[in-house]
Amino acid sequence: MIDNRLIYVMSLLLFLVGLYGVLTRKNILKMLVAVSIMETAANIFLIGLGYISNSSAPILSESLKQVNLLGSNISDPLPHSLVLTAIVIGVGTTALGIAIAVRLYSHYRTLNINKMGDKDEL
Amino acid sequence: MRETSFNTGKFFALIIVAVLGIFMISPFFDTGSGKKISPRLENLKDRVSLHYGLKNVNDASKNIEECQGDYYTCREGVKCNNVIYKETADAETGPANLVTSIVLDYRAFDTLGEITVLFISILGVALLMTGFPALPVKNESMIQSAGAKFLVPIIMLVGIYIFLHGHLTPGGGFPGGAVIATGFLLMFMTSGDYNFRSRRFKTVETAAGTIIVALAIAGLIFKDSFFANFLPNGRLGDLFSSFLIVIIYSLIGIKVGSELSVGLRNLYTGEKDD
Amino acid sequence: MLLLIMFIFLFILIFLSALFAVLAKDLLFCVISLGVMSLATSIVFFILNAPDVAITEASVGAALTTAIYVFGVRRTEREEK
Repeated sequence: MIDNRLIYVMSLLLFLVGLYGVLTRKNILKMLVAVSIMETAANIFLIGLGYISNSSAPILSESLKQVNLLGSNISDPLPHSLVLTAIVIGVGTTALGIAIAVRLYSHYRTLNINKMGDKDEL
Repeated sequence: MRETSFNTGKFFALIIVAVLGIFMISPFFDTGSGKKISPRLENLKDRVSLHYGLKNVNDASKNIEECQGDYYTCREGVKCNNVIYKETADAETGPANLVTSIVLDYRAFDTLGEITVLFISILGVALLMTGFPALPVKNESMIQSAGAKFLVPIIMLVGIYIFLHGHLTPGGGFPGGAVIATGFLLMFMTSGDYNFRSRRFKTVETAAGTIIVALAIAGLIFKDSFFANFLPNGRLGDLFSSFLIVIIYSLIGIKVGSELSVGLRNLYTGEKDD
Repeated sequence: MLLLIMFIFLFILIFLSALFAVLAKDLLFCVISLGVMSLATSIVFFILNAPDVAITEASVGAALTTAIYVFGVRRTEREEK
């Protein structure tokens, strides 16, 4: 019973929250958190593209013997597989970003990107 | 001009966010020409995923090659083979979970690239964390260590179940590997008694990755394409079915689990410089 | 109908936790709020007929990502200056 446009608006609002965070925050870890929020918004959007109301998950089982010829009793399995891989890549890139942030902190003794730069100025 | 005024930045950020929001909301009020997508999706008639669901991708691609037209006009004559749970034997792909059949059969090359990206990012973590001291554990309580002793075997078992059952129930190699990495995280966060050597994990991970690529090349030799399914598929829905996919998903689970636990350990204790 | 009410409730929870994660000063609060957002997102994925993605998001987003961020915060500083 969920309208697909509702999912679209939801992911849009979440994406804009993440974008605002990336643009205004000065702390590197906060910027990484905001990028994670944007990534989640993109995942919700992709899943929402394939959602069919009153259908079931794309897994054949005792309750779903067969996919019918119009494909109206399963949701679209292709975005699911794309998002499945995107989430796992997301954790790898997040770990890489944290490692870079830790390196920068050990060099400059601050996480604020405005105060990074020449070490003599501090 | 290093310290800009904070309010100016916020103002411009709000303007950018508002403009982008207007652009993103504008498809609702669009009145242009072209193929319309109905606001509520009713079926998969115009999508490629329908053939993934019906497991007749080979017939569909042959049909489109024969009539040499675009997808929408040619898909009418595609032969439909009814795939029924627990009845059909030797279907085009084995798994009852359609997501698994896409991840490891129809789009397996994508998955190989994804494994490579994960490997490179964890390698970057290991390179960047070289030479950092370990984070000290302060006042480890008795509940923590006893709870870890109790929980870690169960977590490992759940992870192995998730990737061995990936072709029948929701799950697969990636969440299974993540659950196993959570178990190892709990192990090395509690005390030094459960420590492991990351060198052995790297060996396991390299071996798993090599075997995956070797199986893909074996598909090139026995059948005529990379990642082709050359082992028997069995009856749809049985535990012993779609053997190649079970093997590759288990290898992916082992690889992802060891990779993520090595990455977490590097962030926690720092990589030894040797 | 019940599904729709649940979906809207989860949407409000996700939106508020994302807003808090962006606006809070304390970095540890940000990280925990991001974990709450991931957990609620996994329930949304389950409602949208994607149990595979729900399992992955719950195990990766709520457990591993939070742990990685906490390690990062412990190696650097907690308060935003």
